[in-house]
Amino acid sequence: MKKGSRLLKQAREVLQIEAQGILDLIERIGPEFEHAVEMILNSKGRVILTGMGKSGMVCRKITATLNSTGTPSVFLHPAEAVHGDLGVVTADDIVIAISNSGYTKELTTILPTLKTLGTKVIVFSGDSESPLAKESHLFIDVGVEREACPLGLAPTTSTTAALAMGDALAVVLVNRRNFNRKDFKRFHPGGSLGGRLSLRIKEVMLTGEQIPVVFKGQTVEETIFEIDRKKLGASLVVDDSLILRGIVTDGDIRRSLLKLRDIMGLKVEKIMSTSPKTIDEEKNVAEAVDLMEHNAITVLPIVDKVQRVTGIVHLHGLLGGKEFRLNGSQKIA
Amino acid sequence: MGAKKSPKGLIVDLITPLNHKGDIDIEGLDSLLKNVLPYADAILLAGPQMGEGRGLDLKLKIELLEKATGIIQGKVPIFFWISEDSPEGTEEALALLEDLLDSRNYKGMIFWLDSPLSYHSNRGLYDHYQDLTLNARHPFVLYNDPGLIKRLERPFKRSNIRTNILKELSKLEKIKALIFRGSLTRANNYQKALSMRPDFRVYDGDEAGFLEHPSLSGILSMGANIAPRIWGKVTRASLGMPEQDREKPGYLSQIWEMGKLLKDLMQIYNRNPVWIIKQALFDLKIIGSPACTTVTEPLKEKKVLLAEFVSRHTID
Repeated sequence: MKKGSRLLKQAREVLQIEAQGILDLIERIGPEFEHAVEMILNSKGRVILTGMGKSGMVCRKITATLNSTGTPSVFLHPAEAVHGDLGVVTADDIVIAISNSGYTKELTTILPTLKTLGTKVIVFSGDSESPLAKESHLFIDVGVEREACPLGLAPTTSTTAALAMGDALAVVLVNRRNFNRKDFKRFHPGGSLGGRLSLRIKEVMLTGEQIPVVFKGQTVEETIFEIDRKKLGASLVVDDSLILRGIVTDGDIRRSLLKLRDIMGLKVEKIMSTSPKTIDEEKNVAEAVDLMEHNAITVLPIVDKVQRVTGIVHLHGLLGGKEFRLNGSQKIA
Repeated sequence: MGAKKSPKGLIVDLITPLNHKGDIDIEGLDSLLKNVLPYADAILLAGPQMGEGRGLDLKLKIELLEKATGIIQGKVPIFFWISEDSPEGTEEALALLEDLLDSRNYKGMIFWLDSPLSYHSNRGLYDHYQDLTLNARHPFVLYNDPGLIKRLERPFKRSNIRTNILKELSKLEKIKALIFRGSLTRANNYQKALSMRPDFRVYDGDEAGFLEHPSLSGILSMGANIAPRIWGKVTRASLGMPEQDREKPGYLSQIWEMGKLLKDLMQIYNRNPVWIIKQALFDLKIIGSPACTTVTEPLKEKKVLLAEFVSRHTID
């Protein structure tokens, strides 16, 4: 009983110390946090988190939180970065580097290269005088006064504080982006966002008879029947070799009716769009979603290297408007 | 000078080497400082615990500062305990010590360490420090040690600086840090009160507390007089400060062993640290005499234990 009490006392002390570490951040958080939010909102790229050891694990969690709340994010391992992974970073990205000491060698090594690329660097650290803090574009103070673990064997309060600050950033970004329930559903179609978005397109695309397709030379009337049968709001137009030549959507038909009135007997190439956006089946779902969002389209033809049609995906199919389906034997974990 | 942060890391609560006449043992001071300086981030002189500051008269304190600055030569910051029995006495001591530094044109960092509750109540403390810091040329560090206050002949009602008073005092830019002994709850309350001063450091004044839940500002260490290298290593590890051998295999287990060793060492000297550590330093021929300012009960069995400990471990 006495032993139990001593254990609980120690446990309570740890919780007290870690809670205090976070409470202190409430007082110290300031305009630099607002600048970080604006910097991310104004960025055309992603938020790239990087850190070593336990800080690296904190980075991974913040990355996941940002991704599931509408801020595209990637984790970059600093040790891998110096061996080529820095190629993932672009000038449009924002890098958040986390190091309590601010002296982490692997991070100080990559910082000059990041700055040369033109990438903005935000540093979460406990030491404003550290090399990382001094070299950053923005320093966020996540310093704590006391670690709960003896002898610095493992960071405790400091990693908790960095994690909480990351959550604060993600939540503020959610609100600033007007992220709503629909968005959340979009990113959590089955409660396993990461699993879904990382699937390859060939695992989820519609194939064979499911593809709405007409050949060049067929009429608009035949095309409307095909669109109606396959219920994707569009039909692909191909030549005899199944090479993609165009696409006809509900919108194309509506606009043609207004413009030309009697269109049913016309050949489909008269009203089709001739440069449809396409994607390779080896790409992942996240890239397809990005492409569709960026171009304000809802269907995306899948083609091989010679532009031969191999499948099609619909935005709703990918993001939860309908149940998300796999076309093969693989299951989402 | 005033804008500088107080240092982070190991502050050695240096014993004051004395000879049998009660004067400063200059050779002992030189030898001791050369032993600890490579591992220390700051040195506390004339501290109320190990430095026997309460037993040193002002003349001796001035001599101590004069000799120590000559040896330290700005290599690390010096904390110097200035508290006397009254506000007036403390102001006088401060003025004389600052004059000494001016006359020697000392360029190193100096922080005046003050235990306000040893001569002043919480009431009016802000006004007192406004006066004290007004003309001072060097920054201040506060020392909150309820044990010290309780040992006074006529202690004040309160033995801790009140949290709201500390919050007020932290508005004075010349006050840079606090050395803290006390409960974890009070430490958290102080920390909250000081949160608007991110540059303000709160050092642990309690070795056992530091080894359990380290303050990331640093530690005022008694044991570093005798085991400076190990205290330096453990402090740097606990604070996550840069270390060349951090990446080496077995680093953490080495630190774990060192921490255990320091806890064992504390068990030996904690009942009478000044006397026991002076005896050990005398046995190691680092100081010329184990003389103390006050007569203390020799703890013979502890001396034997410490001698055995020193023979078992390389602790310098």
